[in-house]
Amino acid sequence: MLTILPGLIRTTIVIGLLIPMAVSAEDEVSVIDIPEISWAQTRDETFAAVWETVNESYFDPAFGGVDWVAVREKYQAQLEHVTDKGTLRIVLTAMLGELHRTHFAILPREAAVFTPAERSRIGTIGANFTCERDRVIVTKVQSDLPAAQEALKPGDAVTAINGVDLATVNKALDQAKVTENRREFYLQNIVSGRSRAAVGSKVKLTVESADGQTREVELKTAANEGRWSEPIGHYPAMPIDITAKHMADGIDYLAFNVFSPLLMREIRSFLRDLQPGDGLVIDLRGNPGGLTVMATGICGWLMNKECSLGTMHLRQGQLSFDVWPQSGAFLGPVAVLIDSGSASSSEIFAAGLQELARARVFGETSAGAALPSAFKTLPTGDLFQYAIADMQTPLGQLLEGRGVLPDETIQRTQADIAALRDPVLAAAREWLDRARGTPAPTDEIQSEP
Amino acid sequence: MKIPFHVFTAAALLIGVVGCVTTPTSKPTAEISRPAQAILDRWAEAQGGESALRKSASYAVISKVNYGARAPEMEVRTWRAGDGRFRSELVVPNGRTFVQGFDGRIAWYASEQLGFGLMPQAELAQMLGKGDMLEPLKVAQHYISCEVQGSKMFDNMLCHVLELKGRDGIAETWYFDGKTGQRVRIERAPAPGHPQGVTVNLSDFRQVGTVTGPHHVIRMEGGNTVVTEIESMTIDPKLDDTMFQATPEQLSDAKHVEQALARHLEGVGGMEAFMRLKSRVTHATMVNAGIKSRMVISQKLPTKVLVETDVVGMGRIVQGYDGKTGWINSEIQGYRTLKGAELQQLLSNADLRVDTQLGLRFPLRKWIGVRVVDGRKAEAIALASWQGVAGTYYFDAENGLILRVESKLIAGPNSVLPVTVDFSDFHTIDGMTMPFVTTTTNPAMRMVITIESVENNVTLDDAIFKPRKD
Repeated sequence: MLTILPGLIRTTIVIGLLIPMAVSAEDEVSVIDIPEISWAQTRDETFAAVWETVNESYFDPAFGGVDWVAVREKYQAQLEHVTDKGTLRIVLTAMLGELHRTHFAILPREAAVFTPAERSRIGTIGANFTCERDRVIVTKVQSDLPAAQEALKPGDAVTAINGVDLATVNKALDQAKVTENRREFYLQNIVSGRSRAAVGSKVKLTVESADGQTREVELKTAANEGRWSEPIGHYPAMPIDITAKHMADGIDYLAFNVFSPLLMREIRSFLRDLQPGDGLVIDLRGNPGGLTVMATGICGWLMNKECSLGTMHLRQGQLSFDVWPQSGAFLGPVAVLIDSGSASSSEIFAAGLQELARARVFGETSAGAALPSAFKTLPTGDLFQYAIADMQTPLGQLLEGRGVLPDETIQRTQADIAALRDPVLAAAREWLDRARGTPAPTDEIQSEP
Repeated sequence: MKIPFHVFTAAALLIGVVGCVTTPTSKPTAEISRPAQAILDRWAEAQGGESALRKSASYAVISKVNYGARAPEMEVRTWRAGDGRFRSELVVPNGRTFVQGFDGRIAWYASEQLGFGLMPQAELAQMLGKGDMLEPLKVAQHYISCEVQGSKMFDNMLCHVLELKGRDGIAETWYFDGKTGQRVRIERAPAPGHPQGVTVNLSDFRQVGTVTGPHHVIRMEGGNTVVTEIESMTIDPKLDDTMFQATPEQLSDAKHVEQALARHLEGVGGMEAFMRLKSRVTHATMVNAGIKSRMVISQKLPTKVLVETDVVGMGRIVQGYDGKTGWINSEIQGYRTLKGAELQQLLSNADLRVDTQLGLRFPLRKWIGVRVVDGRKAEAIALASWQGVAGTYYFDAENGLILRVESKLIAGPNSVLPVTVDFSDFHTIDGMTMPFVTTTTNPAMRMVITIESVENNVTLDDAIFKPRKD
């Protein structure tokens, strides 16, 4: 009798990722062009699927004090007025918002990529962002997009995007008592999400340069010509990016934008090639997470003993994020860089290595959004991400709401970015040089190795 | 807490044999040479002589059993009547009690937490052999040969050595102290279930009443050591007949359970069909949270297994057992060996004949009652081994097939998920009936494995099961 194969459970069950919404619920209104009775049924079934999924799988049977039954009644009462998917998303998002937890989201199917033909659903204006003191700053502009190169510079602060004023949003989040690191994460996502609208979309930005000059910028999103991850079940594909460099001075640098299994082979190969006297920087700034089990896989190449990155507690049962040391692992010093854009699996990774005293963490407090989650497809075709567990670090700390506190808190200011300085990376390099016994370099450190 | 399987045997070894198979009414079959008989006669004298042994056949013993780091120390209480009836109680530190008993007709074991079961005949025979005060007088009954093998030193004692062969075909070597005549050591050769053999050292001989026996027993098997100390012994205690008996409710429930297990064995195809099975290759698909995987499971007797799974978007996961090492290797987490409960779970799932072994694997059962599963009447029984509850099994009341199991899934050394496993879409291949759809659910997940093909008795190279580290 064939029963169950537990080796697969951990690998396939858990996604820890906060997906920046490519399209906001307010931007899209789609009218269902089908007989009314079918829409009502689909709408009601979708609502029921969302409510019941949370009711059955939310890790806290007390829902954090929220009367989940009353929540259903409140939002169900609004359903008869909901005539389209966009509005339904607003209602569902508001209902999920009653839990005051991350990793609950409705992702429009129209914005999700599951096949190569759908890749045009996620475009790019060619810029990366970070958040500094409630300001969303351009950190990098793609060199192969001339329009972006002309319109934006590292160090530009985005103050509004497509009519959404970030100061107003920030104020509202502040009044709602959202923590600073979480506010920064949300603001960054508002900009990131809108800057990834479908290829050919117009994105209007109000930008303030480092010298205080304000200008309006309009860009069209271009295709992501680089690599893409593969969809995993209901978890869509997304552009992936990795930088893995062995430097002449023995400081090695690894950065990747999401925990995607497609990157594992490269990461493993890179770590396997590290030399005993090296120091390693793992840059997770702006990495919103991904497949959580990858964090344990990467750690296996940094440890010489079995350990755990923490434990996820489900409604029933628990899963430990066990790390299995691999032959030839790198055992030299490791510095992990984080900021408010580091979320979910990035936080589990950083916190785990920090508490195991295996890495020193530099930068800013992470997003505090670290709940293991799963995905399912709703009757409307939209994707539903839902948290299934709470996450405790090796020392029993909860990351959700708190984030990872760096060992060395260093902010990268707008002026730093504009001047192509990276004080976070510089501090990490300095520490690595001390840790591995070589003198620190005296040169100005560039923002990229 | 895990209870080592030989918890009772350790205590019962104080006076008896390690594990010979015998029946109480068997006629003498062994031809024992005069020199060997002289050693046995001296042993009987050292213990008190035939008359004293016969008068002391009924006794009660309290002993402490120490398992080292494996488990906390436990207390065992044993009562034995002269006619062979017995009762043993193991008391664990949290207050739980495990009991074995024999009322002259029915042998049983029971645990309030884990359930009740009837002891198989072979095991009863072993229990009767152990702890029998008249053992020195019954060697010819219990063994088919007994020969002198000269002398050897053991623990600074010059010992006479006997070689015996049990009715189960397993050889034993006994050492007798040349000065006192007492048996001081038993070496039992490897046997099914005991691949590394068993060694027992007996010492601290004390007189209780008119008999003298060891009060200190060290049992060694495969690197594990169990030390038993008698704390008190009473000869010819007052014994209540009911203490050896199972309750009518226990026996009634046991009857339901035995019938369900028998129906199950018939339902899956019967022992004969499974005895023809030497290997199997199964192709299946799995869907979990929308993630699709393709699986190929190769199995070969006795418990070799290889599971190759290709997970869309995540790469390959391979796990296996080659008879020595359990292992897993994945694209993401790399290679590791499997140990403990995780390994045992793989092995039990991998055993080609697991469907025929429910009774053996789970001697303790609790009859829960009749339930409805997926529209069918099912008999719900909680099954347990000495290590703990395996789960609640729901047997189709008509055909005996397992429709559902409620259990715990070991998803890693520190990972446990309560799951419900439903079985459906039964097919019969080469006389063996199995579910082609297995659905595993937990509040956080739902995994469906669907078999696409099954091929039995395929030629499989042993090399494929070996650990793959790359």
